Amino acid sequence: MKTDWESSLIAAIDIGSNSIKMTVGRANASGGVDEVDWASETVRLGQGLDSTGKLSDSRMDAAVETLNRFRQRAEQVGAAKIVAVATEATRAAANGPAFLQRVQDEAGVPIRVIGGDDEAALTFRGLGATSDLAGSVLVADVGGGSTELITARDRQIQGSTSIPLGSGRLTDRFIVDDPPTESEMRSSELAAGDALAGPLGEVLTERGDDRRVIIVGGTGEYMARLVPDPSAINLAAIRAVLARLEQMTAASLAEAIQIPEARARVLPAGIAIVAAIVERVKPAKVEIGRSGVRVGLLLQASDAIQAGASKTRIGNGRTNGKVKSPFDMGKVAKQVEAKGDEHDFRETMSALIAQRWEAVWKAVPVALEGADIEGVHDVRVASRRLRAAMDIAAPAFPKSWYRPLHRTAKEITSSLGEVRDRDVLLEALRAERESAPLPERPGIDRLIARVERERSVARVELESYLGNLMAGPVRQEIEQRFGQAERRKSDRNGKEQGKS
Amino acid sequence: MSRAWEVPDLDPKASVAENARRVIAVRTAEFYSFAPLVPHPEYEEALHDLRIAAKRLRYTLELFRPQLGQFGDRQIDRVRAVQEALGTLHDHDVRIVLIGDELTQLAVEQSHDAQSAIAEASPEELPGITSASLRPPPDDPRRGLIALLGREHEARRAAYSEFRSLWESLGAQGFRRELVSLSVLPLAASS
Repeated sequence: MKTDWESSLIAAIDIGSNSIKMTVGRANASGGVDEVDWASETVRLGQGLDSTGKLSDSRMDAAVETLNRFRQRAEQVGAAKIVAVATEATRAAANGPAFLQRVQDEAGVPIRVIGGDDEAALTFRGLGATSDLAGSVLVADVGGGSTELITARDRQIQGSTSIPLGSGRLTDRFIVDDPPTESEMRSSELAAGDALAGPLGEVLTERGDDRRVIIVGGTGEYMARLVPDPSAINLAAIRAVLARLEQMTAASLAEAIQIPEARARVLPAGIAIVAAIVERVKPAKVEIGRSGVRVGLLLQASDAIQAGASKTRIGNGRTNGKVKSPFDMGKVAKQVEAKGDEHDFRETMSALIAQRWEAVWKAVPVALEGADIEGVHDVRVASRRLRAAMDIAAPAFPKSWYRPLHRTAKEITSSLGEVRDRDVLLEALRAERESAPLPERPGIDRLIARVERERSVARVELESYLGNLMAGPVRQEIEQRFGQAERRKSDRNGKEQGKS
Repeated sequence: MSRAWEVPDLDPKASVAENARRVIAVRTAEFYSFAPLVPHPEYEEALHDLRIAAKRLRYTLELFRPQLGQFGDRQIDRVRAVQEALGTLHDHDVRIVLIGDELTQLAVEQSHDAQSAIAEASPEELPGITSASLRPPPDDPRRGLIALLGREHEARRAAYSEFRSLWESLGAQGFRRELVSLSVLPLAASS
């Protein structure tokens, strides 16, 4: 039987022309979504659609496999409901209905094909969960097969339109080389500009000197990884990205921003569409939206469930929308009740980071001494624990001084890696030697000698690094930056123990 | 080695429990993003990346231990077991590469030695050199290296099999669902 919190989990799937994406989560009290799992696969369902008018067998096979995996994954994480929508590729393809039937039969996922207006409404609702939609905005959801444009003022949609222009389509039509040539990129942008001119005129019916453009979808998300400052995107920055992409193969782009190569292949055309939009709209600001169709879909499905549940759940013991859990709720509740200046995230993380630096400092002398190989291991583990804390806490501290300390934590881990790896190797090889027949020992001895030589070299580097670290100003800086929080926490714990 | 996934939407002004939930959700999804590769023992690098993701998840869970209680401790033990099983596998992979490399280096050295000996040998010495090179001496290091390589491959297969059993057994116990619940539940109390 599902617990209450599992019952509220919904998996929302968006089947686009480039990618199939899934978000699993539940609606929260503040109108947003708490996401617990997500997945994305670049299937290129719409590949070749413009030339044949159909979805190809190989792309449909890939989509069915992906949806099967997503369904299993959604079930594994405990989703009570799966909702899926398909957009431009399925709606435009002559064999779209056959594809939907296959997915229903083979993957067990019912799909709703949505039109441009529905897609715009879902995108806008999803975007509202994470972005401020006050004032005048133009939302552009750049997909693989289509681009949705929505104009809004003060959170109300004024108009929307769907254009059969997407990164996959534009790539199929104009981009042959890898990396794309300057001429291919220019053709893509000009074609995008031509396709956008009429629809933009239709939706931009009023002046908007203060208008913001919000880019939704993978194109915007990945473009943000290529600009120097995602909070200051303008046409010049987008053009600089396009120029850079003319020098990068899909493989190198995929590696640089950690996306699948097939997705990297269509990204330049997607950014060309963004450039064409920004050039024509001339917005006051360009922003990247962090949620869209899937979050909108999830909220919509949650509304439907709530509407059904409110009829049947009256008097079932649930209060204030809170859910039960198999958790140690006493501790969780205590933590939450303890909100306030003394227990806020920054303060707590400061104290944790101070503790973890202290664990590193304590372990370093044994590692430097070198008699016990566990000394190096202990520093390494302590530094990894420290990094876990520093990775998480980064948004809570000024970058100017936090980043160098964060980098130092990473350097500590890697400075010990070479020695630690060889310590592990030597331990195993010496054990092998003990039990090996005599004729095999010369070979093992040869290996041991090699690893010992390598370890000696690595050890010199380690001692130099750790010696400099201990003698340098870092320790004092750590004490200055994080030490006070740790002392306050100790004092507090002391008082609490005194009370009890 | 794959980079850690970024955690979007961390809010310095939010409670520790709320931020913990967000971080755990990302680390859990990062960990399970490698799940499709588990049935492929030949993807050594990907399995190593899964191990690193397990470490990141484990240290994150340990960080929020006070918020997660005993239920969280259980998940930490499970993640540690996965990490250790993959560690054993990785150790074999490292040794297999090292031994293979040493065998190559040894073959090069022995070839050079034979060439030098042949170049400097008198006609009477040549048959002896030929027969010696075809019948390696009892202390030839190749013997030990080849035997060790065989044992490492065998042990690697066993290590992979153990890891796979562990993974499947955890799956059957609802491990993933329980990990996901860690990222849902702190918020349940904060609404």
